[in-house]
Amino acid sequence: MISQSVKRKFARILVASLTVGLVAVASASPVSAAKLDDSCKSSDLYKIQKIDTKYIRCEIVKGTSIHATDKAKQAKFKWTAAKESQYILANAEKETIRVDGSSTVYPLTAVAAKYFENSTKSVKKKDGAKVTVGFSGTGGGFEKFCRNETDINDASRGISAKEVAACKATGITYTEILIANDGLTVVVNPANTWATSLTMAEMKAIWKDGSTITNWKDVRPGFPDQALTLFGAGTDSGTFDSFTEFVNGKAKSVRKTGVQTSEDDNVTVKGVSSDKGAMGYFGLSYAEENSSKVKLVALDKGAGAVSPNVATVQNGTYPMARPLYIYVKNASIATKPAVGAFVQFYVDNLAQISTDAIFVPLTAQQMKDLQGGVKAIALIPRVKK
Amino acid sequence: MSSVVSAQPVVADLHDTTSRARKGLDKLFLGGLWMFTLVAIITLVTLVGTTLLKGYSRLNWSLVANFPSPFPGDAGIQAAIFGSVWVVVTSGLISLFIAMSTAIYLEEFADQRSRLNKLITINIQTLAGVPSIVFGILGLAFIARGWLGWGFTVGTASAVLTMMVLPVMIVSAREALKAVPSSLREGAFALGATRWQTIVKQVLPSAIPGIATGSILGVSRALGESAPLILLGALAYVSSNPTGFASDYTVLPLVILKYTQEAQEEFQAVGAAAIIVLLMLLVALNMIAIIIRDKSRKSW
Repeated sequence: MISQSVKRKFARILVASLTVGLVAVASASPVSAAKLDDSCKSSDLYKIQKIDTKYIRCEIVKGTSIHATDKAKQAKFKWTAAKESQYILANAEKETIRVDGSSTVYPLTAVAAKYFENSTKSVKKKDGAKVTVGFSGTGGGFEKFCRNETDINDASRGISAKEVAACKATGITYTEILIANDGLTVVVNPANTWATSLTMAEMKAIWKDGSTITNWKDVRPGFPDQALTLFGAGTDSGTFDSFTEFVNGKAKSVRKTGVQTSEDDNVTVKGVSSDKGAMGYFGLSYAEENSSKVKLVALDKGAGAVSPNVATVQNGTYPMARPLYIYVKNASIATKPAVGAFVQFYVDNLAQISTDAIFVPLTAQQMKDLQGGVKAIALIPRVKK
Repeated sequence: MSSVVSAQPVVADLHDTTSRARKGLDKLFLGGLWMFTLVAIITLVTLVGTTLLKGYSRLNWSLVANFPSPFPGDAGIQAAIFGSVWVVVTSGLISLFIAMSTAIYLEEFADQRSRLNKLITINIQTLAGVPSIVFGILGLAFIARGWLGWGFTVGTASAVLTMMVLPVMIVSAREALKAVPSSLREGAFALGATRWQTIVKQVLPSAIPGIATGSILGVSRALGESAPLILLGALAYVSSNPTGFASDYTVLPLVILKYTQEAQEEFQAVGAAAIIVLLMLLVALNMIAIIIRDKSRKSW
């Protein structure tokens, strides 16, 4: 058959081009990796380094490990002797720490997970305790958490009464740890010159259940005649819960029509940046990352307009400042050494982790309280499995 | 076609005009077909082109060698590639085996007129049109949780993807078996071959091209699937490759989803590069199918 030979030829050409493509890709591997290795100094042994705003490579110097006999090197690591043994246990058992929950908190926990894994890996033995992080949303995460399917849940709001009951039903006890601050940020199109600040009453008028406002001129007298389009967060997310709570006074209560809902904040960014009359909301770090495409709106709770930034979120003057948590299962701490080790690591290096993940760090007072919470965790009796 | 028409001496003038009109219509139809093909190709080229442009800067070895990371600079997709291969290969093999058996039974052994078999056929055809998320919910309730309780593991994912691709595979395998001329079977029977010998030595080899095409379509669908796997706990951050059915895992479509959701602009490039890798895997899979098909093609 003619068609067969033609097809064979076609197949051969495809295979050839695929191979060429793969080889080209492989040969184009980055030079940057080598450069980074060069920039590593022996003094950076256990230091987490961020180079060029992107890379973290200097955790471990060739030939050394956390078990190094050199006392000076050991001292650089923050663990006390007791924690060190705990850590060794974690490493020996190659445990997996399962984290799921809020996609807002995800970047923070993922950074912590990466640093933790890097710190537990030795050069010879590449495997240590492992962390896996999912992003099912705060609600979806709690569902798994209370079913005993995860060790830690990321949460962009406090646990709800319903979830407390669910956890109680399965006999799961947990410890809440405040891990960072966040400000829910309202964003509009950069070409929106009128809405530099909004009052919470105006926000409620726009977002409340049953609201029919579809034009900016109905928001405040003097605003132009411009259609108002709204972008909202996914209903399984903690961001949605806390936004509705802040604005409408009741979690999950929101207008039924005229809101485009998306789990993906980038959809909101794209939507708001391409529509002059659009409004959306998400976490402060996401807003700051995209500040070239969207405009951040100041909010007024009656005490003057406050724009969202690290300072106003930390001191609580910003009306939609909210805490971010991780919930740790007590039973996991008791039976899995790696979980306790990870939480301790997370808290010890929180300042660095929040900076690198571009989150609003805890205030000095919050940090103090946190240490107390961690002590409570340390008191949970460890049981051998 | 024209030769057939002109062979019939109808009234010459009338024949001429209708022939011209028909030829015009013919050309119009052909032009239309070309246009639609062009639309499809342009869409594809634009999609692949923009993705390539976006992801080119990150399309390097570190992308394939690194594990998922919260930092765009060293974010990679190794765990996702291995996860995808694990899930797709296992579900592909299992479903191929089951689909072949089902199709052979239904085509070669079953009584086509029996009510039960008709019911089975209708069921399979309906299942082929069920949205993948439904299989995800089913898997969550009965495989990940419920009485099987496999948890959020590679095993659960393969089982659910198997269920998802099975109907498509069965339908296409049946079509392939149906296309084998019955003279082939009759010839074998006439030479004294048993039914089993006929199927294994004659029918199956002739049906392989069709079965391969159908299977690869099913497997390709499984490779690009993300909806059911989000439910089944595919992870965003996992720093090791799966080692067995009980491993944690992530898959390419999910990692792509996560990367395109990230706040930092640089992640978009990583996501685009991951898409290209996924496409390459898909093309490679299809190549295998084409090679199998061409190697085993028979004409009768």
